[in-house]
Amino acid sequence: MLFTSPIFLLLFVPIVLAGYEFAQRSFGRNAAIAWLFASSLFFYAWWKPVFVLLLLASLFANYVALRLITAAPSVLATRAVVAAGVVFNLGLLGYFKYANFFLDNVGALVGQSWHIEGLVLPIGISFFTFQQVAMLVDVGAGRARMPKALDYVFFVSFFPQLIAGPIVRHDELIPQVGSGTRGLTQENLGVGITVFAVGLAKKMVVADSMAVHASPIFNAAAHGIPLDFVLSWYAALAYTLQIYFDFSGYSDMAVGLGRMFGFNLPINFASPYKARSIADFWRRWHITLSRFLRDYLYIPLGGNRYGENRRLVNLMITMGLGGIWHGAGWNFAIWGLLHGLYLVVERWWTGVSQTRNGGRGLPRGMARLLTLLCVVFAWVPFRAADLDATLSVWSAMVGLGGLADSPLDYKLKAVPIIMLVVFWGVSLAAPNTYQWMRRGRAGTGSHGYPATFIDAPDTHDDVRSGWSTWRPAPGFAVVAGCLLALSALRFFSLSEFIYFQF
Amino acid sequence: MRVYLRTLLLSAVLAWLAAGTVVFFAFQNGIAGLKTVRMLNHQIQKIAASEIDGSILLLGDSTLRASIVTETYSDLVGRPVLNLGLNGGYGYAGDLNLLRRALDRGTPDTVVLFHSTDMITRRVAYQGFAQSVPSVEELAELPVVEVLRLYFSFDGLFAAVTGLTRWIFSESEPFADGLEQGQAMTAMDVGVRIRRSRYLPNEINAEKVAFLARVTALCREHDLRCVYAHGPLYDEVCRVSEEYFTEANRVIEATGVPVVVGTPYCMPLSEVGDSEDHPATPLAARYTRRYHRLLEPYLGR
Repeated sequence: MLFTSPIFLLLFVPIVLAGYEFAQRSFGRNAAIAWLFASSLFFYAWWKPVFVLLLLASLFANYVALRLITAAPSVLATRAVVAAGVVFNLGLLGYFKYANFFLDNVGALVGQSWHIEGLVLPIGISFFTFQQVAMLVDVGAGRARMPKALDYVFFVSFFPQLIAGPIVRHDELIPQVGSGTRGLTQENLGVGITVFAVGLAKKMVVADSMAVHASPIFNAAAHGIPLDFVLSWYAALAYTLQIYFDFSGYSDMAVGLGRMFGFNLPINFASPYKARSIADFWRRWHITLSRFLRDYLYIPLGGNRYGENRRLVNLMITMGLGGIWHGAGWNFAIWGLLHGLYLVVERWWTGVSQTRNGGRGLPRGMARLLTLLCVVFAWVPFRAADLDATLSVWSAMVGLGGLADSPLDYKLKAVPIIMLVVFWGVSLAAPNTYQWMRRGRAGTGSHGYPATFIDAPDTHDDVRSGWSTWRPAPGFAVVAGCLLALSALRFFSLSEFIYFQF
Repeated sequence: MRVYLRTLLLSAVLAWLAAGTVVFFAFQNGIAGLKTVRMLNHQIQKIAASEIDGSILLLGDSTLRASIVTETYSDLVGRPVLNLGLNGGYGYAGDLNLLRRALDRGTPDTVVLFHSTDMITRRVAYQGFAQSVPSVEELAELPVVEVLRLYFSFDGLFAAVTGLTRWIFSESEPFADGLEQGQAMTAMDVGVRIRRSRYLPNEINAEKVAFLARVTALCREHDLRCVYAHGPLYDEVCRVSEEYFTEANRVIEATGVPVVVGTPYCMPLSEVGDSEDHPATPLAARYTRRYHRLLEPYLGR
């Protein structure tokens, strides 16, 4: 069930909200959480009912592992159970996501054709696997306590974040279940619906509009049609907007939905295209994945504890695996490794600028522009169908295909170009959803990610903030209502979210 | 916050209804910015301004507009020809409604239904039907979801706003019968641009056939001579789709209309225009003569 579908918005959400409130009032907190768990399973089953069994099996196995960890008689036994649990989770993910990729490549090396027919990637497996791995590792390390079974299954399966994140940490959601303050309130509904409306409009109005312009050009590259400088940059810039508004829109919707039920989910995007460096970009883009990779891959690999060279190697490994997490394909690996390389070069440049000019880096505007160009360039392999298409787009972007010499029958029109400029302006200059919604305290911050900590304004600056900060006034309600209405006009031409495939 | 929530939900509903109303007004009055709506409007105006009695009425999609040059064909047959070609988005629904409009003004000698070779496999053109119906009341026969899809759509709103802006601030551009084509297909991009490399009999859409049957029923009701011609098709696809054409012709003829023998015409790549079923623009006159020879036996004297 898509967040953007009429059946989700007009039936599923109202029914689940009503049931949640009824269960909470009539039977108490556990009944309400059980209702949300059951609703989440229904939500998941809507796609392919059989995979609910996989989700349930995964929940069961992980909970058993957690029980074994807490009952383990020694550190060694704890580690063994944690290791077994991690292997189980990654094995499941590996089988469904990477088995065919592995077989295809090994088969190609030995001149054979190996492929598992009918292997379907269960939706959301990359996300719920990571949440459970984090929980196992943290309970094993004594950083988290054994949760109650109901709280645990709710934490993993809560439908707003089940399919495509944010990758919520146990210490963010489980304590909220027990806080006793959950429930439907007008404030939660007002803030939640508004954040959801913003996210919905980002996806339906902006991302889908940009897709119409990026896709034909990338598809042409995939079919071997040479591109030129203008078309390749047009496609790359449109796709850069598409993926940002698509995924951040989804994340906003998840945060908004969570808030409707009284749960605050973590902020996943914080104006990434305003970043002044690649490291800064990764503190603003898909923050919950970035912090997972930091805490459960980069730091366990040694992080920056074993010297500069090892740090750079760890960065490359982390980013390479982060790339592969997005999809079983070399293009994703290239995207991740390219970002790893950017980070390595950035580290080197920081060192050089420290010794040469006392740490004064590039001027702020230039740093932002350079970062953005690197990010746009790296999105090409992420979107392109294969390596040939990537090279085709890249070579056109550096001018090897001429200025406007492509044989592709694609006419650039004024309105889409104006839209591109406007949406880029919004990405680069406007406050992000959580800055705009700061009075509603939507979304939670992540340690080490300063852009996610947004101060709520004091109550006296209502008038001064004008339209730059949301407040529960009728004018803002009309804006949110119009965003909902505008998005609803795309109900009958639905497209999936890019991150569903991961 | 209660006021905020109420205002939000109310404004969402009102804005949604307002958007639908704007689109409805623009579409039903033929002022939407979509080229297809302007094309429909052009054809409706042409019916109003032409002599229908004794003419040859050409109904169809973009294949018709790419393949037949009206003036050339009129010279060849020696009688008035009314080319009412629309595009695939209107399909048989467009034929039905334009024929009904034409019959209100006279009785043509022959009606030629001239469509892309895969027309019978496509989904029913409810939107095309809604846009072209002679009276608004007939929208009631459409499935609700199709009405919502047409009038409560982002693209519809965009087209309506563009069209209304043009309507208010500038003269409407004249519309030509011929097809304004993009770049012709080359051997390099054949794989990219053809919709299907082979047509199969099981792709025939029974619902679509039922819509065609409504057109042919109208022909019978008014005692009209109606024929069905497949447009040309790129020969690589044409040659491997023989089974499909056998079945398609059987199904089409079962609705009560003969299929013109010799159609589809299988085009070599050198004659293909911007899609596998459009002959290149410079060859339109040649294709007109070609189709004239094929159609001749079916026309009245």
